[in-house]
Amino acid sequence: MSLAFSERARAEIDRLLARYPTRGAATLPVLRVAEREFGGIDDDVMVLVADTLDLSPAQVRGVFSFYTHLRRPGWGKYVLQVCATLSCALRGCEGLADHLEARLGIRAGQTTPDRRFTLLKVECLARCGESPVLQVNDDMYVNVTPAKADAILESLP
Amino acid sequence: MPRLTINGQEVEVPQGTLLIEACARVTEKPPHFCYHPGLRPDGNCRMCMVKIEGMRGVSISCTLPAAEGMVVSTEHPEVLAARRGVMEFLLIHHPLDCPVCDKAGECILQDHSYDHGRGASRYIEPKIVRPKRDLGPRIALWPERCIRCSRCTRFLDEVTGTSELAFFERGDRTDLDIFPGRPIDNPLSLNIVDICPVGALISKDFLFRARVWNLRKKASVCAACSRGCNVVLESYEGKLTRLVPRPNPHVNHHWMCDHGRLSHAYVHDPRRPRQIVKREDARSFNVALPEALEAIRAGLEAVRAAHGAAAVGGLVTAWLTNEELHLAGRLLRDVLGARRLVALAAPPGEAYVAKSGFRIAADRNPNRAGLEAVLGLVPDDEAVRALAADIETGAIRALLVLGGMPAPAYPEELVAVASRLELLVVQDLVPSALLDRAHIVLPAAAAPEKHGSFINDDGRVQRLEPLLVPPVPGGDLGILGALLRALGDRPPGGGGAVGVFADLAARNERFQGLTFQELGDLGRPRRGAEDRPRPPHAAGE
Ligand code: SF4
Ligand code: SF4
Ligand code: FES
Ligand code: FES
Repeated sequence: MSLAFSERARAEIDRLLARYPTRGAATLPVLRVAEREFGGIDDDVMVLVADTLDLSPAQVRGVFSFYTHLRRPGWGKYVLQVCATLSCALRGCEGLADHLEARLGIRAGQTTPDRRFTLLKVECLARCGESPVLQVNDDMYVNVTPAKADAILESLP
Repeated sequence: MPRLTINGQEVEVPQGTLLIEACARVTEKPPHFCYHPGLRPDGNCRMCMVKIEGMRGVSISCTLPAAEGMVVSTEHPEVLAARRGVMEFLLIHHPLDCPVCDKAGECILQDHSYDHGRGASRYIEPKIVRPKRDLGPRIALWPERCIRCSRCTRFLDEVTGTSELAFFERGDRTDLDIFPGRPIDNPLSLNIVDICPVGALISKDFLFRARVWNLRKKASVCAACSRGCNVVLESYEGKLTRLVPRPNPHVNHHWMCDHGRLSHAYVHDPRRPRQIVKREDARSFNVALPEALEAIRAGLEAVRAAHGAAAVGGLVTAWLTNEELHLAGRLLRDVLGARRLVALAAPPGEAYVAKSGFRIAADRNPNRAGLEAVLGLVPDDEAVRALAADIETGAIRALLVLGGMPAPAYPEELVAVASRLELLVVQDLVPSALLDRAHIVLPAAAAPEKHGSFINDDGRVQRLEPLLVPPVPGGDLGILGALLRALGDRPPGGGGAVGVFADLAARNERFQGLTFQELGDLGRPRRGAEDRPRPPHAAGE
């Protein structure tokens, strides 16, 4: 396995490490660096992060897989995360997810054949007061109706 | 020393005692899954709840230190209701496959669902289905049974520091697994099978071999290295089936190593010598003990008459107990006046020190310290070669080899000159070139067949209890006692382990003040050895 961080990434990781009490505590921000560096987090990247932080690969995978905001191999250009936790569920996220599934022709968890969209149902995105919530890559949209979702998707480059 | 009231009873406990342990002093330990006394508390299962007066709701007792003036109830109605709730959630996805689960009978999920469960499930949604999978050479996972208590991951984080297991995903999708291509293969891995409160982690060695309630058990010590971890030996239908650790804060805490668990195949090896054999003119016969003893007596007498008393040699191993060594010393030194008495050691294995400080000794001779304490003998290849040289020159004409070991380690030099001996008596656990040349073959007893004591590498004298019947009734101690009698002597103290130990304690200052009974389940330091419990996280901080 010949994967390695670039000079620049390593410098950034060193700066990050200085801000945490243990190396392991920096797992999330370092995964972020790795995501930018390699375009996504696959097994090889997790092993590299583990070696960098003196963790086991399983520990890194545990943190990585707990979250849905780090790109996984095979995901599309746009990752649509529909919050499916309680507040959003009470305010109709199920309808939103159904609408997106129908519009994109895929099920939650899948990627469109043109690799443009990946649709996910995820846990609470922490904007419960303005549910339903849709996150597109790193941008958060609140009070999302199916019509609003259509508009968002159409506005994407 | 905080004083508190638990279920109406006052109790005083050392500062820092966890409430769950304080409760255990006056009543049953509150039911619990994730708490384990050998691991740091995690407080994730919520089963150990108690009611503390003045505090809202119920509190978990496994992370909370007992505090002065606390008034605690373990059976408050709120507690009972909360436990029922926890049980119901834990069983939502549980397959309830106890009839085919190895853990059944010693599963605390099973026990607690009898005591605190509802009996029927209200869950009507589909259950999560996850087939069993491999986690490494010795362990398999039945993921559906896992209650995500994290005992296994904490063990691998805290004790071995290897962290092969982790929880992936989250919520109801949470899945315990290894990282692809990184199996669990550390020297202590099977401990996670013991501490898994359910049948999720399974030892492939034990899989489907026995229902645990049919196992016979004896508290003893492991003989696979010189640490002497305290164990429970378990057998099914007369066969040694499983070894599990028995907590001893002075030696092994709650753990034992995989090598210790899995290195007893020799006990039931079909090639193991089980008959007393006499060889004459290249023919061999199975004989009864008296006939063998008579042949040994006559052989020794002939050699001593023709070549003098000193023409006898002895070789012992550290698989003999202190009591057996005491009799062997008496036989070879006092009765026969042997020219040489030497000890043979098994070659060293790999030493290992876990993150927590748990040690596997490189020295694989379980009673090396006993050899030294009882007979003043240190296994020495030079001495064994000198013995061989004496046989070569004819200075030694009769040789008694006692104790044996699970893998033969007789040096070439000795085997090469064996045929020059007029009398060769070999007692062993396994076949060997030396055994093939013996005039008399005596089966040795394996450690799980022995009643006696070993001394571990800290100088701790610990008891072995026999779970299995040795090939020769009475075992090595019986054979040695009978041999002494055949030679006109008598074994001290009646020849049993208790009596022989008493004689040893009376004559040998290293055993002064000890009695066999008082060794108890946890052993005692021999005189001059240090007695110091080690904190479980000695090196793990
Ligand atoms: S496998 Fe066993 S020990 Fe590990 S988390 Fe699951 S139930 Fe707990
Ligand atoms: S460390 Fe030694 S005594 Fe302990 S279980 Fe392993 S082999 Fe047996
Ligand atoms: S429940 Fe959807 S944002 Fe919190
Ligand atoms: S035993 Fe206390 S929370 Fe699990």
